[in-house]
Amino acid sequence: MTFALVALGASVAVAVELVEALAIVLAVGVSRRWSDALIGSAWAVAACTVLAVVAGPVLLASVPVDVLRLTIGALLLLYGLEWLRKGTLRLAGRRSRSSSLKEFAEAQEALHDAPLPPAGRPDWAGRLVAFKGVLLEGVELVLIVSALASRPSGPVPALVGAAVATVAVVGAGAWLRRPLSRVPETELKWGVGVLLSAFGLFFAGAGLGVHWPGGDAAVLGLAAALAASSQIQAHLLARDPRPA
Amino acid sequence: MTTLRTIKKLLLGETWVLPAGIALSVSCAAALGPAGAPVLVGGVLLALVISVARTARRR
Repeated sequence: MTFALVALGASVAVAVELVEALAIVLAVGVSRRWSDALIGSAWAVAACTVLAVVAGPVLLASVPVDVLRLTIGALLLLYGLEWLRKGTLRLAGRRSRSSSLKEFAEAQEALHDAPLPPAGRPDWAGRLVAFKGVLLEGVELVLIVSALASRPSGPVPALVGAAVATVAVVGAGAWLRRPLSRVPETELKWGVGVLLSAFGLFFAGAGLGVHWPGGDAAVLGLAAALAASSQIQAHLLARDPRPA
Repeated sequence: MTTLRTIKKLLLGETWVLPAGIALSVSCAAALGPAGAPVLVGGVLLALVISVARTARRR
């Protein structure tokens, strides 16, 4: 059961981050040149790969198991609760819904004033926008997957989930050549927030020597508590009139 | 300055309430040992509720 939950958490987190990065790369490709969009993205992917190769093995090799659990838990809690906070506000209508179309428009806007150099000369503005977009989303992705993969029971579920999501999102982007506008990003991000926070609580508690009733199944109870708390607060906020 | 702000946002998020709440909950749960689960869960849920309420009040 933990295998499936970790794989699900990793795959949805990776899919959401990749859709956002994809929107930026597509914006550069559509409004400038595909070659520069791909070169900028490739630099960012290389930088993220170096980070992933360093972060995972260093965590596994040099940190005692309990400290590792606590570190992983705290890291997952930091990311998960931030996604859950934003998700709660979006569900309550207190924050604009998450959309890769917005990222797409912002990337195009950023390049609006930069003239496109003649063919054969590098488009540094386009490359930089693609590089920055993919790097920022990629670093978050690497930290989440590294944290899930560094669990004492092994990296397989997190890597399987990440691989499935990568193939699906990159395949869909290459096929459609436009942002995946029908993806319900707000609900997906809220769900990822619940899962990451639940795992974060579970691992942090295990690192502290806390006794979780029901063993691994406690993750489900933690997820339910977080989801219920978020939904109740979103419901109450949505009913409340906005402050003047 | 912009780079530092981006790194801070990437690592700690948009509000200090969550990192502070996590640190406080973990510290209290660590002091209680094996019986610290309710404090850890309660503290984290409280931090989430406060961070959402603070942001909602500003919007």
